This record gives sequence, structure tokens and C-alpha cells, in this order.
Amino acid sequence: MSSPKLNGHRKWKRALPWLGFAIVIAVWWMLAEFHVVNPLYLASLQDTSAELWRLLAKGTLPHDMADSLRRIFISLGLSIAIGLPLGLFLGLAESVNRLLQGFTDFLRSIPPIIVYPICQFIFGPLDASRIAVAVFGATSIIVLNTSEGVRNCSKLRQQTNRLLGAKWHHVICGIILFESLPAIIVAIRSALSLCIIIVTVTQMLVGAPHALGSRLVNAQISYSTAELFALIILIGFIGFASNWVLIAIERIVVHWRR
Amino acid sequence: MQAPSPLVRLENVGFAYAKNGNGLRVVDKLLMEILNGEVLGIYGGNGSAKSTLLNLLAGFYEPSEGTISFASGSNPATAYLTQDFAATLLPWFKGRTNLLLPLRYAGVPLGEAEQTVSELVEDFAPNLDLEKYTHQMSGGQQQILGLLRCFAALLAASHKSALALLDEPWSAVNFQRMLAMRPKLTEWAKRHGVTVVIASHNLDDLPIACSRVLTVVGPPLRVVCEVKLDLPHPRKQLDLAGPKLMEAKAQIYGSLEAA
Repeated sequence: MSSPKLNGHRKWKRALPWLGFAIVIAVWWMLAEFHVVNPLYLASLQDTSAELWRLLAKGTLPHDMADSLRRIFISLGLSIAIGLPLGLFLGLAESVNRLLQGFTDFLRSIPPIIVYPICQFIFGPLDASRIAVAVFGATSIIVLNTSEGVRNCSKLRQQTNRLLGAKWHHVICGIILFESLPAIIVAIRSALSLCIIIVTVTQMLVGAPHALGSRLVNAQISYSTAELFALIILIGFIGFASNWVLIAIERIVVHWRR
Repeated sequence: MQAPSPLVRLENVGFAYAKNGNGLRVVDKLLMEILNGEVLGIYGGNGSAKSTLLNLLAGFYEPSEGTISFASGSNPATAYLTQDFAATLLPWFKGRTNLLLPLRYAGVPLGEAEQTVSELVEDFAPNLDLEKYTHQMSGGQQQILGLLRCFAALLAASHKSALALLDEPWSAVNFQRMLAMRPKLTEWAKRHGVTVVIASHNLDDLPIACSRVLTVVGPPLRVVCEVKLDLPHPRKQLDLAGPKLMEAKAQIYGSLEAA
């Protein structure tokens, strides 16, 4: 459909995000190189890369990252396992949804991290309580978006297919689940970001010896700006990469929406 | 020949969109019958509440007054091709699955269902590519798919009386294809004993396909003219220039002018 001229622009458009990255890195390098910013606030590009290399090549960081990732995905998996059926149910049962709406709105207004202390009482000071907080926050995102997605499904589609003989389980499994899938995947993406935040922040609050969060705190205490930068980049990369994987999955699964 | 019995009877049916009574009364004291096995045309202008009537017949709306009763006591198997046909298809499935599903809902074995689907497509739209997803199809192809899906559902319920409600079934279909499909639809309905109601604002559609045409004005919807067409099927586009159909069309136009 598009003209040759537009096609020529497309290659450019694909390269643009990389160019953006390159510009940011170049500005960073210059700011640090010419001491525009106090090196306590801004580690130099070279120091940060050296620190990244040290963290990744030597020591237990890759192992710790894998550990954090495991916690993040356990939290996400549990949130999906709880939130998806619950959201589906609330989306379908209009009156139950009404009944619980005030309460769930209130629950969602609680910043998840503030239930950490009570979770430590219940689940102990270790991993279980971190995962519980992440599940608390992420589940409500998935419940809300799933039930919204279910409620926004075309009523006409359900009615006409009912006439064509679809039973209630056909309508749920063959129509509603598919139609709300885009909303569900968006929910999973936001839930993932929240899980990353909560797992890292709880590690900052109560340190597991070598977890990513406690490494951040230790780097701050020892005034190692380069290590702080390296860790921020690594944690950012975890979020970036897992979000990218989810987008790729979305493209394949939600093939009818392009 | 025995006169056909009514399949559906509407008695003093009234319907208003807003429930508090001051809403627009789009159907008022409507009396009509749909006869078993007929192809009934509902001809009327835009906004004359034709679609509301079909929604009432489909059970999507409850009449606020009067009753809609069915001869068999229980509702006939009903399939409804709505004007917004694209929003009723399942875009996450291929065309073939969309056609197979109504048969599978009714428990028809897969092999038999596939046979039925391929016969339907062979009959009505041999060029339709069922391996496409519905969102990859043109509007006209989607409409034909929706129509065939209605037929598949009615074939699956062959033990019951069957009613097809078709709202502007050719609005997106190209002229040549429509010319071919109109007589086929009637022939198919007669062969399978399916009762059909076609709503249209294109008067040429109805005399070709229908055995009876009701001309309606509204809202509130009321019938201003009933024309019985006993010309033999299949009819062709050129039959519209013949004396019988010309006369029918003149009668319909006359009734609209008088209304």
C-alpha cells in the first residue's frame, strides 16, 4: 500500500530507537568525561562498564539475578493463577462485582509495599513474605483488568452465538476468553513491572545477603556510584527484556488484532 | 394445497427503548404472522424499526406489551444475521472453524460437520477461502460467512422447526454475487424447510427471494401493505421487469405514498 518513499523511511524508523540509545550514552559519556556533574552522582561510562563486567563475570551476581527472576516469575505466576479466574468470575457475575466493588477499590488503593510488615508476621522474614506482597499487588491488577476485559466483550457476539447453539462454557472458553485476551496480556505486563519493583524493594528493606536489592543498599553505603549504576542498568534490563518477551508472546497469541 | 400454518404469531406487540414509559415507542400494537416455510420480506425505510422487529423475534428484546408465540410451543431453532455481522464472527478462528462451530455446538461429529460445511460453501460461495481468519476477509466475504454460519446452525437443528432472521443480508456483497445468491437462498430454504425473514430497504432483493413481502413504515412500526408473490422460483433479476413483479412493486410504492 505504501509508496516507495515511505518504504525507504521505514528502515530509518527501525533504526531510530537504537539511535536514541546511542545519543543518551554519548551525552552520559560527555557529562562524566568533562566532569560536568559531580562523580558521586554520575559514574563514568568506563567505570560503570568495568563494574558491570566485574559483577557479571566474577562473583555470584548472575546466580543472584536468576534467583530474583525466579521470585519475580513465581509471584507473577501465582498472581495469574489467582487473578485470572477471579477476574473472569467478577466480570461475568455482575452483582457479585457490585457487591465487592467498594472493597476491591479500597484494596487497590493500598500501596502494596506497606503490607510487607504484616506479611512478614504471617509468612516469615524470608522469600515467602516478598512473594506474598508481590502477589497481593499484582493480583489486583490482573483481577481488575480481566474483569474489565470480560465486561467489555461484545454482548451482541455472545447473544448471536448463543442463538447459534453455543452453551455457556462455549461462550466463556471460545468467545469471552479470547476477546478479553488483549486486556489480560496488558494486565500481565503491568503486573510484571510491579513484581520486579516489589521483589527488589523488599530486598532493599530486609536484605537477603547477595540479592539485587541489598546489593544496591550496600553499594550506596560504600559510596560506589559505579556499582549503583551497574545494578540499576541490570535491573532495568530485567524489566526491559521480560516486557519484550511478553510483547512478542502477545503478537503471536493475539494474532487477530493488528 | 394446504395453507401453511403460522410458525410465529405476534399479537399486539409493543416495544419502547427506554423503560420509564416516555421513551420512543418503536413498535406499537403490532399484529403479524410468520408462516411455516415461507420466505418473508420486510421492506421499509431507514429507521423504520425493522431491526428492532428482528431483535424481538430473536429474543434479544422482550416486548413491553403483547406476546410473541410460537406454533410448536417451544421456540424454533433461530439464527440471526445482524447488520453488524462482523462483530458476531469470531476473528480468532479461521473461517472454517466459524462455520463448524454451530454444528459442533449441537454435537454433530466432526467429519459430518466438515461435510456439511463444504457442501454449504460449494453451494453458495465456492470462492470463499475458509483458511483465512475472518479479519483477513473483506466485508462482503464476512457477510457471506455470517449467512452460511446461520445456515449451518439451522442444519444442525434439523429436528426442530427453523427460523433464519436476515437483516440486510446482501448489504456488503457485490452485485454479481448477490444476483447469484438471492435465488439460491430461497431454493435452499425450501429444500430444508427453513422459514426465513429478510429485512431490507432494497426493494429489488425481496420480490426475487420472497414468497410474501410486508411493507412497513415507522416508527412506530406498522404494516401498510402485504403482497403475496406466487411466481415460481428460482426467479431472475430480469423477472423484475415482468408484469407480475412490476405490479407487486407498484403496489408497494403506492402503499408507501399513501402512508
